[in-house]
Amino acid sequence: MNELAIWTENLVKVYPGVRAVDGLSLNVPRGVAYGFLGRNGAGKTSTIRILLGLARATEGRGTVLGFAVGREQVAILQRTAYVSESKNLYGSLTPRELVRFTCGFYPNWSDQAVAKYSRLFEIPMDRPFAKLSQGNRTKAYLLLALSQGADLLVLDEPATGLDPVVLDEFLRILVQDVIAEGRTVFISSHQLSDVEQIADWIGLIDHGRLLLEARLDDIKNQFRFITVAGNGLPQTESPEVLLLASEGNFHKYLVKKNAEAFAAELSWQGATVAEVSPLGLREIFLALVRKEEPCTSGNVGEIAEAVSSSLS
Amino acid sequence: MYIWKCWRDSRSRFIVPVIALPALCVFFTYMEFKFAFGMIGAGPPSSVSQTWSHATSFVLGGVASLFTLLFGLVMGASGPGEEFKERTADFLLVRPRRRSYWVWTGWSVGVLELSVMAFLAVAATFGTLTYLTGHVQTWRPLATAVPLAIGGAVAYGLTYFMTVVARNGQQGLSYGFGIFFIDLLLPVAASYYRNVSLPSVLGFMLGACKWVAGASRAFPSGSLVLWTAIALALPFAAQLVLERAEV
Amino acid sequence: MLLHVNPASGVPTYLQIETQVKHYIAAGALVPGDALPSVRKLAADLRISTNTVARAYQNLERDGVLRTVQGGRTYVGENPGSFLKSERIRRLRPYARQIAVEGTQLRLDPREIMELVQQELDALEEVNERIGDLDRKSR
Repeated sequence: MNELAIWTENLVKVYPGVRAVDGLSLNVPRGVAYGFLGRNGAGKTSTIRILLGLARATEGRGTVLGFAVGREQVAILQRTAYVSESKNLYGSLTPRELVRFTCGFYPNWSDQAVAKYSRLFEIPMDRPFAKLSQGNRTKAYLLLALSQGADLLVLDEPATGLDPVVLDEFLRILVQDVIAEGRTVFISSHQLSDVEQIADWIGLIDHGRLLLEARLDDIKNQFRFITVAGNGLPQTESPEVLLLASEGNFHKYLVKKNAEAFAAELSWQGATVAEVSPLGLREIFLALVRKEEPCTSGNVGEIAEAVSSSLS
Repeated sequence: MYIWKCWRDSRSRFIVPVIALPALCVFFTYMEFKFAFGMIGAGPPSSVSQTWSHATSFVLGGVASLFTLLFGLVMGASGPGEEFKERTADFLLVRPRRRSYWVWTGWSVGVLELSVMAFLAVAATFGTLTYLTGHVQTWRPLATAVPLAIGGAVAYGLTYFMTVVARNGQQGLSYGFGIFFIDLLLPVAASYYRNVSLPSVLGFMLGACKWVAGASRAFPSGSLVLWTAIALALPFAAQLVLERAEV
Repeated sequence: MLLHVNPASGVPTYLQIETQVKHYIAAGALVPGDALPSVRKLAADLRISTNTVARAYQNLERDGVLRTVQGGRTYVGENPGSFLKSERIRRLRPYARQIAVEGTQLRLDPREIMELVQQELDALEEVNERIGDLDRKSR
């Protein structure tokens, strides 16, 4: 628990009429880039708000950098830099004044970092925040977060309004100045390509629950799509095998482990294995998250039922 | 840091009262002196002391008190409550401080400003009296800065608390004004119709100034304790609300 | 040393790095003693996590392909001719198995699979020769 940057146990957050977070147990190691993925409304921002003390969990508990969420919140905030989804700052203050406002809170604040990043990002330091474009606002917000000297960066959709060049620069900074220093980055996003680039770990959340939490490398090493055609193939699954789609004799499986063995077994049963292919993050995301939506004709109800029961 | 920001944000709402209140005091002191003197006529020192006493009661206890309350109400529409309207609450509340820090720091800056305002008003009155009557009759009027500041803190704290509750300065101000008028009129009505005496902050300020002026024997210790307690309870209530607030 | 990784690929990034480094070595573009960029520099240049690069370097070092010295720099290791032949064969076997399985999946017959492997070996040899030529010319 103490070696983890973020740990939660059955975190629940109930808003009137909706369980935004529904039994979430996160394990985010230190010194990694952790991609927190999910659709809009999956519970990402609610989770982050709880971790940062902006909201209170209905049930469950958690720690951030070893400190208890809620009880030791100030200690967490001293060591955590947060980039919120809205990225809103005081309109009448300039970035320079915002730096002046923020630096006093953090003993590890780095003025060199401010100078370096303000130059790299080309931020107009003396224009009031209200008059900045969306891209410049994001950059100013990132500047404050990066200069804080934090052990953990929590980024909620950090790329809003950033053009590809700035985004690329930002990723380089994250690698060189944060991850290489042994600090932790927690990125919440539905921009899969940005996350896939830099992430070591992936946590995939849907309807307030974790569908998957693993090293990205392991996922890519072990997860496979298997498309087959044949009769009497398995319709229900083990925890490792999901039936994604079915059309008559054709089936598409998502296999989480030992894909070759499963494919071989299907072959011995006389099926034609058309393809055993590795998955990119986008395909994994869609495959796991789309289970509740109709994907093919026929067997829709059974598929959804079988898949969700195999995941629970 | 945050103190600097509170000061910056309050500047525009501070500059008018800090000039207007002393100016009003000078004006009314002059009026008081002119017409009372005219009525009494140039006479023995007792009339000078009466002038001083009357100015303390009327100008400070009446005019300055009322305007301090009004200004206090307006100045209180600030602080952490406004952060929600500005949509910067998720920035501020993630800075490593307890929520009580935000509440009390903002409140302290405002109350300090009010105290400066009250003292300047009192000093202006004192100075005007000295100038007009030619000498310092008594140093006591300076003490009225205390009930003025306390009363101002109550008004400020009221709007400040309402702003945190409503998460909006303008709404907080509306509620604050509403409650203030109730506190202004209800005791008057209760006393007139039912002969019941209810505590009123203006009544307290007036009573305290009268005591300082020597126009009344009774030191309003009960009111002093009560309104000081209320002045401190309001920001405390704001703290309780902010601690439970979700962004 | 220039690499290219495709994060969207189904192949893990660390594996892509390992493959490319081995390819360079096999083709003679990297020779024993050549210094590799530091983990931090390579990660920053590729915009990928240092953990990924570190893993690739570690794996390559475990396989004897790379060698890290006290100061932290990483170099191309001595020829794997220092390993016993049986050991080298043991290391190659998983790849051979993979080719066999994949090839069978793809319904290719053994002769076609072997032909493919031979083509790849030939291509490597050709590249090796060309680099050798360039080397000789530059001296």
